Amino acid sequence: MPRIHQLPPSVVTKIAAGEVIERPASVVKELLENSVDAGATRIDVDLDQGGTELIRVVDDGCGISADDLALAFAQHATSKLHTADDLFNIGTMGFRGEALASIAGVAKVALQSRPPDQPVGAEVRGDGGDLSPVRPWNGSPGTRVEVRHLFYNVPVRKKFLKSVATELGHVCETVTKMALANPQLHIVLRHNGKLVYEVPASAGLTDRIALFFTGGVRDALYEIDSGPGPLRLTGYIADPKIDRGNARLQYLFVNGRWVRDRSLAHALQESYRGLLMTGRYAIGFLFLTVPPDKVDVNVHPTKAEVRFQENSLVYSLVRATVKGRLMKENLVPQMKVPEGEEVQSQGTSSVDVPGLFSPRRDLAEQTVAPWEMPADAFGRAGGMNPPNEQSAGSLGRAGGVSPPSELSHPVPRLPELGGLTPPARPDALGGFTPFSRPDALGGLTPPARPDVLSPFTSFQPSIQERLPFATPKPTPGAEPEASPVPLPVQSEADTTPPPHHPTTPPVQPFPLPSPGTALQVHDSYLVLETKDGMLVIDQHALHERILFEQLRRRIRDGKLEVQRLLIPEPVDLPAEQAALVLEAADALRELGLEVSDFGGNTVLLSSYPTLLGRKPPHEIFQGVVDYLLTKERPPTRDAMLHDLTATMACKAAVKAGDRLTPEEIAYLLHLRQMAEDSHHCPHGRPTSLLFSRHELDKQFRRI
Amino acid sequence: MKVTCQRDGLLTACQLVSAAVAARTTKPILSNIKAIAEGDGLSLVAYDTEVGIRYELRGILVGRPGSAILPITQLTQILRESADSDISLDADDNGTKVKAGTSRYEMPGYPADEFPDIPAFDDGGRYHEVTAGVLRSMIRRTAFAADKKDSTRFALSGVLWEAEGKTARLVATDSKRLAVCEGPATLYGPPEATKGSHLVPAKTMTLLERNLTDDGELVRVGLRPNEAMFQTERAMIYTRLVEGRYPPYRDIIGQTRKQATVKVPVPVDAFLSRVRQAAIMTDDESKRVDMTFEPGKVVMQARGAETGSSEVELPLPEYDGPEVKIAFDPQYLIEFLRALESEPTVSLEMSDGGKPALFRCGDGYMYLVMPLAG
Repeated sequence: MPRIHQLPPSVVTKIAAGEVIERPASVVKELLENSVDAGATRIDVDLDQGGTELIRVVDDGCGISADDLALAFAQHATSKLHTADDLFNIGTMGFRGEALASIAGVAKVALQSRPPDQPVGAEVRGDGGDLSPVRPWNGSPGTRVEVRHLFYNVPVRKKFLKSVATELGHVCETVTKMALANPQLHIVLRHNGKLVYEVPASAGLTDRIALFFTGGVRDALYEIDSGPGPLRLTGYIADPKIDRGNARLQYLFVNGRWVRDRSLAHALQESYRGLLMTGRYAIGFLFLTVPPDKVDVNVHPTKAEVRFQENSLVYSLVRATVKGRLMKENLVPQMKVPEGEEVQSQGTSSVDVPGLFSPRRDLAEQTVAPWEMPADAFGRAGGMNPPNEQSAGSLGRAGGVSPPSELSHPVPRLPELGGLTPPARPDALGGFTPFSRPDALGGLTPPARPDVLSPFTSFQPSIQERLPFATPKPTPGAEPEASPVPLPVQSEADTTPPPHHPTTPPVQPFPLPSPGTALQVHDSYLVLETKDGMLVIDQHALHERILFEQLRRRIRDGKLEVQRLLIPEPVDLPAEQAALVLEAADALRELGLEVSDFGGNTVLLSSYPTLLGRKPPHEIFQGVVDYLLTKERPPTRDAMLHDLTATMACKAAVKAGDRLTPEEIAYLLHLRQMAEDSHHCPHGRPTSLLFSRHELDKQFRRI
Repeated sequence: MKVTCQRDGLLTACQLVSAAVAARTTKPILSNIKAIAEGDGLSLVAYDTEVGIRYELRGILVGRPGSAILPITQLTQILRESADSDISLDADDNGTKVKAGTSRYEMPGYPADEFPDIPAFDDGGRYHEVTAGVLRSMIRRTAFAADKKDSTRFALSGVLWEAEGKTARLVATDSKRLAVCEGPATLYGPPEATKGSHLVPAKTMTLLERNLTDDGELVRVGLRPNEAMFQTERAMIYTRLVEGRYPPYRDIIGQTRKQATVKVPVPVDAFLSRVRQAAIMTDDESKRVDMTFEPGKVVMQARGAETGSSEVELPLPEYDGPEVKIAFDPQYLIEFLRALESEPTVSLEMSDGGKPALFRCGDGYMYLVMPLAG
């Protein structure tokens, strides 16, 4: 039976170091925080080999008196905390008294310090936990810590260290965070004797942002400030026009400490909703001031996370402040997306029909899916059917409710429409007042065109026939992509009712009819009968998909053509990105992007693939770098070309509004059978929707 | 002001200055031109705050001297549609009245003082002179190579203008090809103290080229740190310069010439026609013509996934060097070969398919193209 025994201190420090000291950047972080807590105004950081050989941090702070020097290496020895109550009122960066002990446990450390009011300083050296006696030291006031041979006594850890460039990248990131959090600090970073960053104390926050993330970012910044109060948000956000492919440029600082917080990152991203494409990320530098007793920083070994006492309050502060600032800029004219808790904004559209909708419906209306553009839908609906402008507009928005509520919502209410007005939209019946709801009147006026509704909610081939059948059950194939494809808005007076022809036996999941049996409506959609329902195809989306696949096949098989540059283009990147790019240089060459080191944080781009020649080379390159950052490896050729191929296909495909001859329709349907994925266009929109026979029967009260 | 003048003369003048009229501007007055009548002359001024031109018409019958703002679009249309040989303008701050034969037009006016003035030509004691014919050919041989895409290197959107010794030199590049053209010039005044580069916007070059009508005429060019002025007989063109550092083009040319191992004399017209023939089979995805130079001939091949393939041969009886394979974007060759105008042959110097190729025409014109790899 194994006996329980107390571990020796050398093992304890190594265990502790395992949590706190992961790589050179962790050492730098701990030492920088100590220097900041010591009130330093200038900090010099020197690295050798990415910090694996040497990390030297020199500051001009308050120093450590000779008597305390040895104690500094002891575990849980600190000057920053006295009682347990202090834990909940922390004003310093560190407080646990673990860092130096942990570092000393896994490296050779020299600590030299002299308080400014002392004539001489003192030094002590540690070697994997063993301390030398304290000796006098004649340096200048401040503290100097040298960490050599990190992990020399933990070979496993050492093996896990990445390349010099990667480790340097992590240190750069740490220094960047520190420099942003402390704008009064003069901070210098050198690597192998070469200067990487020098941030003078006089450089303000915006200058620092320009230094680390290029002037382009600085020039697009908007200052934010939630105003005075115990809880305050300040900082900068960037115009949506300079978005990024990853969230790396979202920095959050709480009381001067960089932290990661999913919920606040979400709040920032949410504020940009409708302004950014999917998959693009906003740039923001947020500084939160929270009373120390309202936030717990003692929840994460490296303090990279904090817990807020009033999380939702902080969330809405961030969201409201950022969003309010963006609204002020009037970035996009149609940006009046009513969202979340902003109740007053939805009043404008439904002002003419008060009390029509149940509270539940109101709620559903406010929840607009990210891809919805209500303003757009509103305008188009209005133009088409002026008398119904108000209601059509609000319907349009209802159509955009997020898929789950949209799909589940109308269905349980179907029975109550009963014999009233079968063709009317079921969810228009909340409170039945004929004159304010012309569309519910059936024969009196042409039904209010639910053109702008999600295709799931309603579909209507022609006015004469008036066959609106509401809310078919989503088919398995189409469900994940509930993005609304607005039907066209031109007059459909000349359209004839759809002649339905017999079809061939079904092929799962979408049964295909024999070619040539589709009807084109609005010169945009193809309607065809299938064995168990009716299929509506977006002709543009389908053709785009087919062309996309053809193009992709050709490009995949062909050689990648590369245009080399007579004069290589210098591209400025943040230090860690530059390191990453140079490391991946071989892989990038495969993609036709030749990069080489230009010194500093600049890389030279000396070729690019001609296929992407429509874009300026630096844009192609930035896209690849973004990919590299998130995926930690360069994109495959296919991935890089995907966007371009999609755009080329989109331009070449038939458009909505192009009239097709029966022969063209037949051929398009023939190609559809051959496509690898005929259900979605390259941008992810569905190419076809199925209205099942069962659903039609149900809507007409046959079953 | 009140003037009567010949319709076709005024039409030509209007068309010449219209290139400097602001197309999109927040200052509506800049989408007009300013006219000044005095003595027997009429000056038309157009200025979009980047490029400006003052064009002088002589032999005008001035009824009442003065200045006014004229709406250039309508005025040009009137001049074009009208069939009468004479036209008279009566314009002031309140409006413009145009009389052409029996037709009458009235257009609203602007206060003439609000139009920003462009400075008069001022050589500042240092300028150079080039004949219009030489200058026009220099512009045609270089300006096309300037960067038209939105690049991070703004400097490349301009044409570098240098003058030293007895030559003027224009350089343009978009980093895939580079054109350098020299021509004889007469320099006046002391040499420049500071070595700044003068980058003339491509738009100015087009405007200048259009104003060079008479081959023998002397054009005076004044280059200053941030602006440049060009004085022809009739027109004075003022331009802001593009800022930025121009790449060290001499090094690039020097290096290419040092590396070059083969030299092929190429007949211009035949080469151009073969390149265009081969290029028929390039498409959106593949803009590439492969060339194989071998003793006595060059074979060009292109292949597009959808278009098909081509193989075109051009005999080169004078070439007996080693085989060289090199691939180009045909567009870069066609633009260059067209700019050569009446030159019969050009010499092509290159080393291999991975290094830039240099076309030389006489002593004064060089064109470098970076080949396609992969």
